[in-house]
Amino acid sequence: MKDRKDLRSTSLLAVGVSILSLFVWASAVATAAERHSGRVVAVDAATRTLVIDEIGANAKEQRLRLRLAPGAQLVMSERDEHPEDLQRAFKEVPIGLSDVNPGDFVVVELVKAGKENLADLVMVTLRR
Amino acid sequence: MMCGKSRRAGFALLILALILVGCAKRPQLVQAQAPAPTGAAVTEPAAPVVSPQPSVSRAPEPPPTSPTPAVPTPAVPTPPPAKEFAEVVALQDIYFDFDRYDIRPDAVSTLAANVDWMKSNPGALILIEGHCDERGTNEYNLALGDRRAKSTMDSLVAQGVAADRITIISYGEERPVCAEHTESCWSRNRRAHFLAKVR
Repeated sequence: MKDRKDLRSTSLLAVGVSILSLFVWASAVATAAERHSGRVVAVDAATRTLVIDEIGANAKEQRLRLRLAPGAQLVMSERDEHPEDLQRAFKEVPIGLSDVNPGDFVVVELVKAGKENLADLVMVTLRR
Repeated sequence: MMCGKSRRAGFALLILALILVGCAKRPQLVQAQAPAPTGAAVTEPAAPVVSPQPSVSRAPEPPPTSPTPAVPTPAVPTPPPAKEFAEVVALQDIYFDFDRYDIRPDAVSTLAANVDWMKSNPGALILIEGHCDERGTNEYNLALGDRRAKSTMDSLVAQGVAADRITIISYGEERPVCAEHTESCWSRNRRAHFLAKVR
């Protein structure tokens, strides 16, 4: 009788731990950064927002509106003429939002915050 | 007695699980899965995956699996090393068809010329960059660029270039040479680019 009770409480604990782990894992996955790239259509310094046109899955064109997250990194990436490391064939130089122009090709990393796209990283990789 | 032990074990399990969960990696970018190697054309992967960095591999070693977030590196004026990877005029880009990674017939002569240069510079290490046009997701194109770099490397190796001289890297769609939504622009972006480092 006692053994059965022990087994039951252990099983309940194990199930509880599993469910808790699942929730934490699911929330971690849900907040994972997405990487997108496309051409800048508009920049609004006042609201710290960017609009980019990208051609994503199934070659479908979409317009992505995103707001810079607090502390977001903005960088200009250029080919390094003297790379010492294969992982750093391109060098990144910090820039401001005012340095991002319509027409620039950018790579962004963003997370969903409700219905809003928050960008952690904006990297200009081609300027025309 | 048994009950106490069982509870202690349960709590230990709970604490261990919490520690493991707490130590879980930060929202991490998953390495894009390469498309099935059964054909030259690739299909869209089912689950979205993201990679923060270009995937690099040095033949015949497997690519690294621990991507780190891109961090801006301040421009520090350091003298360039004497020997480094650099663009070589003699090494020309080759281009690919949309969503494919097989070597096109019109790229064969370009590759042959590149092989000639590599054979006449046997000490040179070669870096092959795989690039894509902007159609498709970033992670899909990272995988496709990897395939392009690999098939280019395979072709070089088949022509007698030692595999251990070659490193490949994929930038996917993220390093275009043009950004217009036109076929002529896209065709320029679907490329394998070569750098060399003379030892």
